[in-house]
Amino acid sequence: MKSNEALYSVIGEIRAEYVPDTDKKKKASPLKWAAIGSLAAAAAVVGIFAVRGMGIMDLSKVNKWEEYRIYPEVSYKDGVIIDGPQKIPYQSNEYMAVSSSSDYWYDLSQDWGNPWSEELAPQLTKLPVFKDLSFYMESQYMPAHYYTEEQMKEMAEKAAVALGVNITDIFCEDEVNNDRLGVSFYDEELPCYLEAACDGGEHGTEKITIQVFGGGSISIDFGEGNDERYFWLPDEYDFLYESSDDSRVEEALGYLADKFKNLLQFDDPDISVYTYKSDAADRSMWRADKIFNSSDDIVQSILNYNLAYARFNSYPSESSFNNGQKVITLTNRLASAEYLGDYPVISPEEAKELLLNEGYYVYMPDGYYKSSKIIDPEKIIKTELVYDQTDTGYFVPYYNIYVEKDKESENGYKQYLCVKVSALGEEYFEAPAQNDSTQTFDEEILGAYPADEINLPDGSTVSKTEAVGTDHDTQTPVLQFDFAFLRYSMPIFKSTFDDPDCYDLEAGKPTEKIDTETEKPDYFKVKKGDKLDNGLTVISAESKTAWWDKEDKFYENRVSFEGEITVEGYFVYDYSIRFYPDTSGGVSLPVVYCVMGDDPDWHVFSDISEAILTDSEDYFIGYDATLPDELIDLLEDRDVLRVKVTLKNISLNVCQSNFNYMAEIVNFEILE
Amino acid sequence: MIINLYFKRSEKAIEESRSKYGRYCSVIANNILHSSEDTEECVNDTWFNAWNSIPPSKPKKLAVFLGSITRNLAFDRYRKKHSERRGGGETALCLDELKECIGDKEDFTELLPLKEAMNDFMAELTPQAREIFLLRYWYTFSVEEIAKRTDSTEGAVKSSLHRTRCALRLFLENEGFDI
Repeated sequence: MKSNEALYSVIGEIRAEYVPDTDKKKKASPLKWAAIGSLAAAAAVVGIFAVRGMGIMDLSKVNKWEEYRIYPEVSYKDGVIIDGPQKIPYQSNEYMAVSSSSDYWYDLSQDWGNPWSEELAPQLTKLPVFKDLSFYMESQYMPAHYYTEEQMKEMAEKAAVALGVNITDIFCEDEVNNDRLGVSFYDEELPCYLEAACDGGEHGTEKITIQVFGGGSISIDFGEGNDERYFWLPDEYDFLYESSDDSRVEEALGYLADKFKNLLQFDDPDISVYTYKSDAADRSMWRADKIFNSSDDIVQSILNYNLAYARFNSYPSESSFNNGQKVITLTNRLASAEYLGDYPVISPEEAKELLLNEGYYVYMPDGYYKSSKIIDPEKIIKTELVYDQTDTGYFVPYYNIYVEKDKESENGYKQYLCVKVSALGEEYFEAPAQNDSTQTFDEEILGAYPADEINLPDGSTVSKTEAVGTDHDTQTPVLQFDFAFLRYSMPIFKSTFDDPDCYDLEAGKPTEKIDTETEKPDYFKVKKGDKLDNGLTVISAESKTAWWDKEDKFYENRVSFEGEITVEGYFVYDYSIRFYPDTSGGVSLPVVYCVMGDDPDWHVFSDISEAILTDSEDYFIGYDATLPDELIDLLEDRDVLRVKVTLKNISLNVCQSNFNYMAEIVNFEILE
Repeated sequence: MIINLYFKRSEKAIEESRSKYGRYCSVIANNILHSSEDTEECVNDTWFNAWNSIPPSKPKKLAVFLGSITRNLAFDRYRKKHSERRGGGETALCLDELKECIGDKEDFTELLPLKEAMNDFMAELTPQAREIFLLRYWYTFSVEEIAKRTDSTEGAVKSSLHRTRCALRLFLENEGFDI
């Protein structure tokens, strides 16, 4: 193809917004006859400025972002896949699905501006997955680190150029101090954040602060602390929640996107804005808004919408700050992420089917429930695809599935449960290694632990140097050990399981027939490989101790068993499904040691119903996934079932006062 | 919306597109081909191409998207027939004029950089200059037609086009294109 033919062809592919609409009858301004001057003279001047004054160049658009592009251009298509998609590690069992703990009120008729839509789903059978290189696996409390100080300084300088301001001072923070531990977490090469103080330029404020954070987000603050100096929107724009609707906000954002186009550096900015309400009594209004770069490549648009965008933050609740803009936030997670490849994704219909049939444990205010039991397919109103970060620092696609709740709508808003279901199949995730094989160990945390000897539940002690791992939270260092402590469930009722004289329902406590003190068996230590008297074998054991209130707290115990055990007891379905074992027959179920909160021996007594008495404080909270459907069906008809069950895959864990016992039922027999 | 019909894979999408944009696409094709038969074939091929493109494309401006398909089809057809036709109306004139900007070297391959450069150049033009330029080289309207559409004179249109072509040449030279 000849070059002029190529040019003619390429003109046909320019951006759509430039192509004039031939239907409209426009009254064009009369062309001005500008002095053309000498073409030779014009040609002698380098650059497009040669045509200055010729009336065709819009000089306000001369800025070229490439000269001060803040984030590198990222094309996810440049990634290389080696040996097929790698598995994505996860830590918590919520990696496949999780529900929001707060039920918001939405008006789902609003267009949320998400480039993804269900109509596109059949074409999007694969989507990219990224690893966040700024994420720290060692501790969720470590701030993101990726950029060097030099890189962060350059980003601040470019942002200053984009804003038309001058940097007057720069400060770099590279250390995170934890006073309680007396240690610092830092990386000499990768600071936490950099702060550049600037003059106000022509923004109507005296000072602007540009903050660049280690993970790459940038915050531009137009005020100073509580200083009320912001830059103000022109009067014709309205950004407040209370006084404007989404279309007005969109107009305001359009103005801001244009005003700050050199900062946003989006070739084709698109605006997403919608409102929702909290479930609080006042139904306080919230607005989600962002500006992102739209692309002809729909996948790139989806990535930008989720991972690379700008937000304008204002303080709408204060009437004196009417329409004041204080902070601009730039986010670009893609610039510090590694493309792992395109992964096959399930369709929205498949995600809904999984939710309805396979079932995930969704969190409700009163506990975890299996989604297949509580979600009515007719109530699934909306599905959208978003990107979210796993607890191991990977950006993966999820479906947000909105389930209508049975409440009346209020001004067009209804309450919905939002369940996030992975768009990747389970085969692309990899369970974390069990026990201590990949535990992290930090000498500094060990050194910071105040006690050299740890007190154990059986009265013995262990040196802190025997810890196999370390951890920390915001308050204290934590040591991990490769053992746990158990005891057997207490045979409280000496004669009969159903002895009503053993419990005083009115007083809500056991009678003197119950001896819970002297009969309590001792705790004993177990490690991997130990075999219990009841035939179960320990396949994993770990525990944690923390320094709280100036002493050790042996606060977390986890034990898993191999083998089967048959026991009689009661299944009760009141709040959730529980199993109360009857140990009068001599079969002893293990109980893990727990130090925090109420003594577990007393827990069960508070749960005893009028119809049931138990001779043990130990009960199983059975998750539906481990219970046969016929058992669940029986329990839905009758609150109580007396059964003999054979259990396997028993795992117990307690963290502070939270018990979690899991077991799989091999078979069961109803005892009448 | 017609776009939604494409996404739902409804055949009404073609019917509606033809109804709403048929004439628009015909003008574009005829400007290039000056043949009613060729124009009709191009426009018919446009719907087929659009059906295969949407989704995954989700054009914001369907008219321009369809017009662009028609334009490309028409120009391809023009190029194939160019050796058999002499004179050739506005298209030939447009190609001659664009030689001033980029020459007419054979085997030009830098289409992607050129496309990026053209988008950048378009961003720097005044709306007036851009409109005239594209009415000429996107729609392939005659100077006379452009003058009518912009309430101007043919002389003013010619001058504007000339200045813009000069600016484009300088721009492409600075972008590193070998002209």
